[in-house]
Amino acid sequence: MIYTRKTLPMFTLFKHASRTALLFGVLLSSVDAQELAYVTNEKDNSISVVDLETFSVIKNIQVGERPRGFIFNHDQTLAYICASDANRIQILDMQTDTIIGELPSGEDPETIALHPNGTTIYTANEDDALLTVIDIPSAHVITQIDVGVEPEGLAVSPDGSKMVVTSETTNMVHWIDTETNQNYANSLVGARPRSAMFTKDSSQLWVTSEIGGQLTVFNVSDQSVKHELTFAIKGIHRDRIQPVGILLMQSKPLAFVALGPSNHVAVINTQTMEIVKYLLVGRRVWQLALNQDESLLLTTNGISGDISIIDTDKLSTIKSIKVGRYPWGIAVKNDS
Amino acid sequence: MLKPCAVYNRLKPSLLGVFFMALCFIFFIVSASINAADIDVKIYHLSHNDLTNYAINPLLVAPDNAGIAGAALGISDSNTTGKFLGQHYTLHPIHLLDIANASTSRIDWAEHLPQAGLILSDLVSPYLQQLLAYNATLSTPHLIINISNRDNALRQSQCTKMLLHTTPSNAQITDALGQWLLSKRLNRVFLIDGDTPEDDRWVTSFERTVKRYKLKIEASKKWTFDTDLRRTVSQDIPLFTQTSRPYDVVVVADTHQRFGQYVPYNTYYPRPVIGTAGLVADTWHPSIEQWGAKQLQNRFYDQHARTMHHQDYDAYVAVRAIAYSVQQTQSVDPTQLATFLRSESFQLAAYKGRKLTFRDYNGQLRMPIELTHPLGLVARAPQEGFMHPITDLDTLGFDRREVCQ
Repeated sequence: MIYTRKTLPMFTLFKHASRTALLFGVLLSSVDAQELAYVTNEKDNSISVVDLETFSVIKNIQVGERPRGFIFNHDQTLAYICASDANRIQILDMQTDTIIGELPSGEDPETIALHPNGTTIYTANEDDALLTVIDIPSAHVITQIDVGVEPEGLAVSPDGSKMVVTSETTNMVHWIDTETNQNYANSLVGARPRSAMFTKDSSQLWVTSEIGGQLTVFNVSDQSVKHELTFAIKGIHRDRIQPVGILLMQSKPLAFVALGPSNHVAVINTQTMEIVKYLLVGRRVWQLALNQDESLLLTTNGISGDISIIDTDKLSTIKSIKVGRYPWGIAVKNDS
Repeated sequence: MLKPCAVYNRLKPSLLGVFFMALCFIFFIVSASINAADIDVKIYHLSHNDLTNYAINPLLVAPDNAGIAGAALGISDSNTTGKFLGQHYTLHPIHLLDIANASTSRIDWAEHLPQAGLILSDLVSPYLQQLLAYNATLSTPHLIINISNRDNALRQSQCTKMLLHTTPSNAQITDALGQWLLSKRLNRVFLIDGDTPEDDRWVTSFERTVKRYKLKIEASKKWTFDTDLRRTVSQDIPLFTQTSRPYDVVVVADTHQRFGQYVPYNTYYPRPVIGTAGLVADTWHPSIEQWGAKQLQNRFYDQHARTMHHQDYDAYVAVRAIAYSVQQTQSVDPTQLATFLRSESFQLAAYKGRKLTFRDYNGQLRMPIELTHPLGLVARAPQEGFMHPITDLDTLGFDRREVCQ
């Protein structure tokens, strides 16, 4: 089945009407209130800025070559962008949407994660099998830690005590103590682990294995495996079901897993660990983001060059928005 | 470690002897616990001098380290992983010209191969058949992974459990081309046969594809020229490709790259050229970047200062397959690894966007095949719509019922 936008307009119209009303209301109270999604376009060396009220691209920002990972600082005044082929992390000023500086990153930074302290940033250097730890205020590399081949997924526990990096070709999760920057444990997982996320209480770690087709949930305390989940979508060969991005909702016991070239996102009940639903999105879905009130889930779809918008109450895809070529990273700037 | 034990053997039973015995026992325990954690994995790369390299175009001459360069990268990647698991991988090249004389002599394998080794074979069929015959006589046989030989016979009539192939068969290659022809509705084929033994095998394989996909060979000619075409190409090729009935496509079987590169743009009818020249089907191309391939290409370039080609990829995958199996089984026993490699538990992520597995019935790696022109990717097989009850990857090459009957 082909991903189609034709089925959506009615719904979208309805959604639009309500959103316009909402927008109108919001406009009365605050002129600037606007939620914006920032999407890195890997092949266009740009960022598309998407207005989540009108569901349209309102701006394109040129950045360094092959932008992938994208995150905000805590107060969302700055964003950090992995410009992989430019071998740097660029700093984007959110007021002016201009690049105001960069951080030393090592070669080919792919993803980034920010420590809760707000001053330490981690990046995975995919070509060099390294994890680089960077101090933001001094723009210095604190240390580089040897990890497996093609490190990619990064996650810092919300309590700040540990972080993990997954290495795609080594098939491992490397556990790192953030105090000492020591790699204290390594866990083998299914082939080509891509993404990792801690639960809010830092007790569990979720990891997806793209080629292995698995989701592994670890107990953080002893790195033991708590759950293993595989996915099955009717009419789609299991080889095409390739879990990548993970997102755990804070307000509801739901998690989302992007399933790559199966063009679906799995919805998981985190209490029962059952798969509730599979949602059809664009082609080769990669990364996920939620807006501030978690009413909308956004997905980047690499091959179709768009993002899909999912209503997290109805659990249905309500809109797709064309962005640049090969959208990769995504984050939402909250209402200001 | 053995020394105190040897001393103990010479001692008469005494208190001292008991002490030594205890010491030996402690040594044994300690060494066993170290061995349990640390695994040394030696991989042997077996090759011979290629006497049939006819290529005269400098762009088509394979680099001296074609193939083994990929194995070397596989070793370093496996060591990066291995350092977290106490596994250490090394590559040991064995070159047959150094030990055997040309094609006639029987090779004394026992003299040159280790006990129960893990062997990458970069051998032509006569050598490989000889090695397989020798391997069959061993009580603890070697694990042999064929990384370069595409002979269909090795997939159809050699079904020993100890042989695997990470290089595709000719059948996988010609089926990939056949699917592309069918999807483009290029059904009428003009076939040029280079007329070396390897070309004949390629042609036989292509004829099987023609039958499978109901294509039609409108005309075929053998290439018997012994001229150097570099200066007369625009006169000779149009004449050679003139046929009484028109065709949709020219298929060239020139595995040694002697003339195929001169066919495109000079055909009598303006038609695409595919096969071993023009649009080719193979496992890898320097322009491939999807599914993390870019990272592999970068690492390869950093290590070898050249781009990565299909020979390198086929060898790389073989090393990675061994490393993954050692990782999972914690063993270097060839028989145990051979069993694991063919099992359902084996899954290899190898920059193809889906897991690769081995066909349990003939040890052939299932894989997508890339269709490329000299500078970039054109398409990828299996093409959409070619279906198979197990996996669409099995629409390429031999199915279970075609093997070892």
